[in-house]
Amino acid sequence: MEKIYLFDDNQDNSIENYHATYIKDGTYGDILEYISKLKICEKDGLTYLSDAKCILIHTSFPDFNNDHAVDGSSILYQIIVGNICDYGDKIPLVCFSGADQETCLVNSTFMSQISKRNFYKNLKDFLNNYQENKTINLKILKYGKDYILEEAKGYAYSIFKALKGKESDVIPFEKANSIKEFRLLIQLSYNSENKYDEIINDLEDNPITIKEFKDKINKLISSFTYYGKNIYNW
Amino acid sequence: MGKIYIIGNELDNNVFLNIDTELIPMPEIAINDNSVNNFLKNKLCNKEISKLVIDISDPKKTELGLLIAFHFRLSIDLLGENVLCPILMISDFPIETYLNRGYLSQLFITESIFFSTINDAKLVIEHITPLSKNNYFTGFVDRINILPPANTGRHSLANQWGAKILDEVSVANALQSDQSIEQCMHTLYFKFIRSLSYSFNEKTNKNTHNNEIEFIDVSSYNSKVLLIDDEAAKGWGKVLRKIIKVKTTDDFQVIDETTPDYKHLSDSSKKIIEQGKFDIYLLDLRMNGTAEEDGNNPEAFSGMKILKEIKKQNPGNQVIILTASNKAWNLKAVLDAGADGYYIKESPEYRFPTSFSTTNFKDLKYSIELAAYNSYLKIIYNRKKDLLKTLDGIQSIIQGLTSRTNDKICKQILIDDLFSTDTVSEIESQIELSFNLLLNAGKGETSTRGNDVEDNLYAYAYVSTCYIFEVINNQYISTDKTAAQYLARTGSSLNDYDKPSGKRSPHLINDNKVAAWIKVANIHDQILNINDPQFNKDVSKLIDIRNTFIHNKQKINTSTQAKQLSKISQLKDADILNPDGYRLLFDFIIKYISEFTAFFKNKTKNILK
Repeated sequence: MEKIYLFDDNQDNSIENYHATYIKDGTYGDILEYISKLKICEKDGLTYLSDAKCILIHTSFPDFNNDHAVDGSSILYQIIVGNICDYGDKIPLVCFSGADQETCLVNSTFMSQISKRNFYKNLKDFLNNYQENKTINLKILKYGKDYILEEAKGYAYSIFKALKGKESDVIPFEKANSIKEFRLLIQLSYNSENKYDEIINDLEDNPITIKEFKDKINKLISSFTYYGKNIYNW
Repeated sequence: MGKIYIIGNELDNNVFLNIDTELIPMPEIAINDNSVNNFLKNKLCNKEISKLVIDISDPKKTELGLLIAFHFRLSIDLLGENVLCPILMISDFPIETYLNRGYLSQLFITESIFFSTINDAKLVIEHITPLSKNNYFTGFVDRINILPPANTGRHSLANQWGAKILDEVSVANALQSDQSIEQCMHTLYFKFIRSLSYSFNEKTNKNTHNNEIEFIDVSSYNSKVLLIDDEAAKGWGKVLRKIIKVKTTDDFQVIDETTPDYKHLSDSSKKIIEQGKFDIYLLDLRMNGTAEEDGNNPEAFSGMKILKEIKKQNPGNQVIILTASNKAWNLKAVLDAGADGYYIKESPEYRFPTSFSTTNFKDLKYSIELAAYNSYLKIIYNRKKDLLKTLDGIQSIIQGLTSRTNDKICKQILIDDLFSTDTVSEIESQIELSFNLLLNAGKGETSTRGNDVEDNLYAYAYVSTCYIFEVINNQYISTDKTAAQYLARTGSSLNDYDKPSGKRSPHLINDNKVAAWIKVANIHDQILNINDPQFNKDVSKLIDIRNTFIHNKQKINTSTQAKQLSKISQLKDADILNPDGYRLLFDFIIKYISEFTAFFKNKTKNILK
């Protein structure tokens, strides 16, 4: 199986502190390659990384000269991120950092920033998913194993924010149709291309109040909460 | 009557129309303890808060909202009794979507935390009630468990916590401006631990019971203190420097490096120790960072190895072990290895009550002050070494003469003037014996300090040292057929001396009952040819003290006044029972034996070259 490569110089003992020693002890030996240092002289020998399934790299990963980090030098980091991964276009790429910062998932193959705290919190679920499903899902690194729920809640929150008026007001179907997150939520909930159109048509034929609309959305959210997927009809 | 504060967004103002509320926008801050603490400090400190509403609808802000609620409840130092006010979490989503938030979800099983949809919030807010002071513990603190922050090692955490507690208990306030320590205290974990021993009703909290710094004063002994601790920078250096009162700034120094044992200390650190200018060593038991966190064998601890080396260099060095371990076998092991005391660095894991912190500090103060009191042992040991060296010199002279037994003059000197080999050996063994007694007397176990056992140990050490006078007397003074005593070397009778003045009297003694000090005075006067009334006065006093103990055996009060005495003639009988009395005797013996050495050298200078 193609491997995930993790580059972390671990100078702050974060692997131990975040209880992620499974990285080193071979628990994920079949899918994970952990590299704590790369020597600058190895820069022409990184071709093996082109077979990587995904690359996870510490943004401060330094170049090494023998056993010592070369102060301020990050040539290998640049090569891996820019040339080998092409910022996720060639190989899925995650750049994590010690700073507390909001996770930025640029697209499904490139996470430009995530804090170490979140990264190591969710890494095990990310690896388990790859081991079981053989897919790279960066959303798991961002949200954890309940990533679908979090994604659904993100859409739902945007929908609620877009709805104005009293709860007893009827929601115009045009209004519902104009909220792009509504389409995304329905796609996520039903995994069907036609379902969204069905619902919009239904809203046109059978108008409902904002409260009823919200309740239906919360029913989907509850389903994601309890079952990890939607089991209800609209 | 406080105000309702809402942490959320502008839309929340519409939710609570016609209710007096104040909106604080949900902050755009990193989700970490320090940011949240600063947010609360800036926005809610010194406010009267009746109710707190937090909008956690925005999935991007859910974690932050829950963290704010947790910090709010646990920030007693910052917010006082406001932490008891009811908290209403509002959201567009059902509560079950918030129950998968790890430790943050614990909030929903605590009392006075309410949840409502945004639509129902206005109705709910009317009916929510605060926690009572008693319920703070049963309804909140007892229902949660906060783990240490993952990005800081246990060793480091314990040190920061321990240093802060000592800072508070001693009222040193040395760490108030230490950002690293303050950040640590702002973590949810440390707030949680502090809340466990908090009392709303009594002013017994660590930082409120006293306003004056409590010094550990070693300046009157001129003691020099060396802190050896790889975590000194975690606050220990600052706090200990502030609370230990030394004479000059240079009298408190720090070695702050990680090491598995003594030999791996840097050369400069080893040099500092080996120069021997420090009297009191405050030594961390685990100097090797995380590598020693899980160690169980006390003999393998780096601090134990360093302790042994420091004691090997000079058993009189006073070493107090600082340790985050409260395991009895570790403490026993360090005491067995010669440590003169220990201080348990408080760890958040132990959750000690405030009363322990106070007692722990008092014990540290006692240990350090006792160590200062006992630091004379280091000096005595160095003098003992010099004395043994002097005796070695005498042995060499004896050997030199012995190899020339055919030479009549040499033989005569050996018989008449010089110590015999047995005399030298006996003096040496008395010195060793008395120093060991003295070391034990200085141990100062709390249970024995100041009582008969300890007083007797000082006295035994003293008496044992006094025996050296008798050994020398026996060498030079014999008894004739009429039982009268005389100087073996010359055959002449012994002179009498006036005790108050120390002057030689015109009378001779024809008696077999001669006081030991008279014999010493005769030897000094007639063998060494030094007529020194002050010497005679001093020796009579020193031996009188010995006799007081030997013959009276009554309980004698320990007098601390002796510390101020500098002349033997000022000594009172009771002063035998403290280090100064002993030190005066020891110095006297050294001087006496040095006079013999000079005498022997003079006698043999033309023979042994």
